Amino acid sequence: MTDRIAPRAWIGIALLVAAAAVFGRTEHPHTWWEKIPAYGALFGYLGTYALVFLAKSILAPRIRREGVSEE
Amino acid sequence: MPPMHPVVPMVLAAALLPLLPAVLRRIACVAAPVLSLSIIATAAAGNSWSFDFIGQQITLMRCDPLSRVFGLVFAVAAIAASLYGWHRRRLSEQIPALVYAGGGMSVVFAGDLLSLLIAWEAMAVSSALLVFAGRKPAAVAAGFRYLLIHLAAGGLMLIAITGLISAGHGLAFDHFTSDGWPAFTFLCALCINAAVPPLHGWLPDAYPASTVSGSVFLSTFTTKAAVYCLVRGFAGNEALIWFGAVMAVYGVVFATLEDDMRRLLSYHIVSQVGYMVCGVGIGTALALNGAVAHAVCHILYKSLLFMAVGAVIYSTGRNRLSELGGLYSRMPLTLIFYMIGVLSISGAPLLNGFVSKSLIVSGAGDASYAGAAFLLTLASVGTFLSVGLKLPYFAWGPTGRGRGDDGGAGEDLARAGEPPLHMLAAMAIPAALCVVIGLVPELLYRFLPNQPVAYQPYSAHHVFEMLLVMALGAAAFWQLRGKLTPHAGETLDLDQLYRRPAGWLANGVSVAFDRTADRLAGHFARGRDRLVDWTRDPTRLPGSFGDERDWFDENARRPPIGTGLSWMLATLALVAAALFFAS
Repeated sequence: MTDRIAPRAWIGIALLVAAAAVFGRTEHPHTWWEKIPAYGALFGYLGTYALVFLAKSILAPRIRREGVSEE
Repeated sequence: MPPMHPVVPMVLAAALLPLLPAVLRRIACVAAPVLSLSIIATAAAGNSWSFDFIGQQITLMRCDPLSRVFGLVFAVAAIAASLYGWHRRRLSEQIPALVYAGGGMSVVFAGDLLSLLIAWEAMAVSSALLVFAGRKPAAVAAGFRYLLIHLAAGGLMLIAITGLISAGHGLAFDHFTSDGWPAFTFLCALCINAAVPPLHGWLPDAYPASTVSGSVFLSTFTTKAAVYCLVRGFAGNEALIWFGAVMAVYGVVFATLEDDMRRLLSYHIVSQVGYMVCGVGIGTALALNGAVAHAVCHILYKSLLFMAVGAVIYSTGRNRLSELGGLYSRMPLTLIFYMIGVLSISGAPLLNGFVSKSLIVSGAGDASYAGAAFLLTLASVGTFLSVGLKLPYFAWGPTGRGRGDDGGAGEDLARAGEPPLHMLAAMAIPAALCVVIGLVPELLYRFLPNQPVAYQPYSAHHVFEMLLVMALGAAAFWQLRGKLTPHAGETLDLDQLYRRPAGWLANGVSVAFDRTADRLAGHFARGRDRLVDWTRDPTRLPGSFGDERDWFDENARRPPIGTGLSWMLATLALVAAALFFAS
């Protein structure tokens, strides 16, 4: 279940992607994924999903105890 | 006469505090690190405070670019933290804070392993006292765990030093060239203090348990002193690359699960120290400069974040995100300072984290450690997610559970407001430095150990890529924010693996000790009673005692006077007869 993002937010993101593409790389890419256009966008978006999935769907059911503990 | 050691003002202030009235104590707590800062800033390079001890050269003050940059940022952090804790009244918190900061400075200026060890132990004990200063039962328990772990690290360091001396290495504290067990043991001791998983459990356990100002001190010194030692002794150790990269991601994943704000920030210390450990492991000039620069920047923005979160706790009395919300209207200045810290730690352009993270990630890329660079960039995304979006959204945002109907602070938080002026002034110090270093990285570069530093973090492409990471991260957070709603609870970490067996062991030893002590006490009591009885009546030999208080009669063995006189006269008569016949 995810929440919608306002269209104007997507417009802002699209402008950032365009700017990153216009201002081309000035330094040698270290890795193959740095050659992907606007890889930062992919990293930010997919990375967040991956981390939330790892934390909340895989780890939390196993290592998280609900309720405040009083040691 | 040697120049003054920067630790001297801290130690003197700590010693004099009990004699001073409350106002002067507060002034001394701030003035001492100011003096230390001025000493470090004007100290000449080279060794001083050196002397011979049991045939070894002891150097209390080694000033070189590496120790100077750590010393400077330690002193600045101590000033800000002391100002932040201006409201503290208890000596039990003021003295350990000064000793702890002084211990941190002693570590970075120690020129030999023995003085390093002594400073290390001073840090361990004083920082444990800071945890105890939290005073709640949970703080006392966490403080004991913290103390045990750090004394164990000190013990490992002592064993390593003994081994190094036996191997002919001497007491010099420089890069370790050998791969023998002493160097490995020394590295393990450093990894405990650097909170490298799985040895990190003490950090999120203890730091949130202290007072709000105690947490600011704690966030500064221990892990960064360990990073300093790693840079000094283990640069280029390849294992550290992967430990560092993994701990960078590990920290952010656990931070995503946290509800307690200071515990969340503590996991981010684990993550950020991972960057530094990775940079140390890469070992190139660029990566080492990155590790040092990141330590400096991290001390600034992490102390700022602990201060801002501490201000929320100070103002509301709550430390859980699930109990907060709507504070944007009550604490706007604190929010601004927090966001400066958060954008810095997330690597936003124009702030110091952008510079230092770029140095390390570029160092990893240049050295062809693509996997490490990938993990570090992923950790950067996670940092922005948990500490940059989740925490402010649910604490200050209009949607947290503590909000009122209008989206502002709810009734329970109605009395919340900005913290005292000294806290705001303290937050301004690291916030200003985060901005200044971000705008003019050369100010930081001139203090880095490997000169010259030619790295230029600001290219249009790099800036826009970083903005894209953050913008798309924010978009994904917005979509997933329902899943990230905080709930009261606790997260089990790897420390459970040794805490429970250690608890069983401690209980077993305790029970065995109690039983043995009881038996020994019983034997002792019986022996004591027999001795008393025997001295009262020597004719009753051991083994023939009844209940002494029933049978004992002091006249029972005493003969009548007439009988005694008769025996005496008979004896005299016998003696006289013997003398008569003998003559």
